[in-house]
Amino acid sequence: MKIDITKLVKLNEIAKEGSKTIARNLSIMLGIGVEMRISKIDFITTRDFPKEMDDGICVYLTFTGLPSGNLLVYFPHEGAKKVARLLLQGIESDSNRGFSEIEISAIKEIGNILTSSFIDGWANLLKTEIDISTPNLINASEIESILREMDEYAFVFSSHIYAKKEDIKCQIYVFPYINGMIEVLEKL
Amino acid sequence: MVKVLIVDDSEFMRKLLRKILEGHFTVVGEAENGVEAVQKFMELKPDVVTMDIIMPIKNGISATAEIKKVNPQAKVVMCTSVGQEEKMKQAIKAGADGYITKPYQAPKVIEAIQEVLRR
Repeated sequence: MKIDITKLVKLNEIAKEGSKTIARNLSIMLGIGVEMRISKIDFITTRDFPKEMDDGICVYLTFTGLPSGNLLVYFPHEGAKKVARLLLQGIESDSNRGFSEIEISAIKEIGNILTSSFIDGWANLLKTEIDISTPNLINASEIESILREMDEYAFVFSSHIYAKKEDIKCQIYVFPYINGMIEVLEKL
Repeated sequence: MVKVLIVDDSEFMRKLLRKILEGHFTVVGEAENGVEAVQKFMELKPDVVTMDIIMPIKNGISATAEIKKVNPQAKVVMCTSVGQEEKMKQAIKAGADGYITKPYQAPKVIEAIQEVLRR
């Protein structure tokens, strides 16, 4: 397989634009300044995926169309609690070390909105339709079982988003299936 | 006061939207999927329905088409994080009268509903 480097550059630009939209939308939802620090594409074997995400939660979604794939939004535990607190200002919620039903709903929805920001950019650019599943919340420790279901090799789009004032960070990982991704690259 | 039915599978988004709308409109009910939306539309007869697109059981585009079949004068505003042009074209074809993109910004939500009511 040969990949034209100029197409990868273009894909990286699209990913960066998507990440900026994510930061802008997160800022609107939380009511605080948010910035995108890193956005990059890696070609990895899925077993090389970072293992340090033990204490945290992930919003997990799948997308189907051109391309299809999996998407994870990872929040460290304390960051997720802060996000929930900011989102639920003025809305009643039981809060403790775990997550209440409404906090889970809020975090799922933020994952949904953030990932849509990313995927919609692709769909519009490629003039195609990409369906996104409803979001699921999983413990970060469950990521490994999801990775096992994926292709052995993957293009990973990762974005690190920071809200410094509140010490919140989240990481967004997009795993498109390779065959679809090759078709996307040909279309670019 | 104008009666609004909120349709969204996310409890958080329903509560958030209720908080934005109350004071401007009367929220007469909530539904968490497309099937419930059609039932509650017939039961509560709202002036406007705010409709999410991606929902389990029946999505917002199919529910909008059914509501418009029941009452072609019904006003439906799509409320969605989906910014894809193809999906919005489908929603318009199903009869959507307007749309609001998530994340919600209160003034834009109010304005979108008022705009649909003015037509």
